[in-house]
Amino acid sequence: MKKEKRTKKDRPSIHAASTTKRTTVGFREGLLLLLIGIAIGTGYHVVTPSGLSWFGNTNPSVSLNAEGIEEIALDDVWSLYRQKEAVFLDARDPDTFWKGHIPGALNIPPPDAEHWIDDIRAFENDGKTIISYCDGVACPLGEELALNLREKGVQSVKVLINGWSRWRAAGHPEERLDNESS
Amino acid sequence: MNRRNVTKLLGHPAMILISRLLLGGIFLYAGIIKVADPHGFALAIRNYQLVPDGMVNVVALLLPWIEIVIAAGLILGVGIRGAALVSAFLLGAFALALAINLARGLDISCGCFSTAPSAGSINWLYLARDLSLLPMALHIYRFDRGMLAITGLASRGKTAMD
Repeated sequence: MKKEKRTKKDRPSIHAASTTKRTTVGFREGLLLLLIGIAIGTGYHVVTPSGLSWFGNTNPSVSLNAEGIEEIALDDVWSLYRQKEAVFLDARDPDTFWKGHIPGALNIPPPDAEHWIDDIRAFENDGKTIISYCDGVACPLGEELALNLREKGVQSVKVLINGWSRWRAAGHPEERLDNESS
Repeated sequence: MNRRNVTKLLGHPAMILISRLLLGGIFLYAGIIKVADPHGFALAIRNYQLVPDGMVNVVALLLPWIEIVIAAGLILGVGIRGAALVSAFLLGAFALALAINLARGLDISCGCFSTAPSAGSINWLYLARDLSLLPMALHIYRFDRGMLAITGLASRGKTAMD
């Protein structure tokens, strides 16, 4: 049987075939890895819910209304702040809180609500407006904190949606770890 | 150094392994940070104003795991070419998102290696950092031959046992 001899002329076609094979394999493996990532991500979210819903709150005030918790406008918040008639509850984690928050705010992540319940009831009885906030329209912590407090009997709690960003954007005073207000 | 030598150097198994471990390590770190704080990452994505509102959380919940899976692929040597291809695609997409928002002049945090809203604002260095990783992904895609790949080691072990 006559053996075919490969010449230099054959090289481009061999190279092209190898490139095509590499691309095909790459795309197939890439697609498989994407699917594995999506499957693990879905499974992880089902097993350990983060509180983030799949399709999110495109309009946070709608879900607040559904839960019966009132949203408060930034202008009203500012007015209450100036009159010292508001108690602010910052629902973010302590590290973020200490990098900057509304002056005088208490740092109460939602799971800690019960430790503060007596103090907050006392503020409510004094006629103060209780305002919880987080940062970003997607952050549900302010709402979660308000719900936790309401379950424990604090009825007047309101939520300032996207509170920290809006407060800063308005140029209102800030308080940080070094206790410097600006 | 002529073209042949450059190709030889780039094709050296140790060079490819270094690229794989570096890129894999970077994606692994970025993925873990985001899995730990899906709310923060969702906020970072929303701030880019490029993903439809209804899809922000889906991306925030799944993208970190895709990053972790391709990192595992690169480090362990499973589906290396696919992992390199997806890495290159993601890096390209991140670069585009950064470039659009830099051009818009938005003051937002990157959400790349930190999900805290207080993280530094994006600037052109973030884009340069992202683009500097792209050649690494293309290098792996073009030259990888599966050095220390877990699949290769397994099949070699099997052959030895036979």
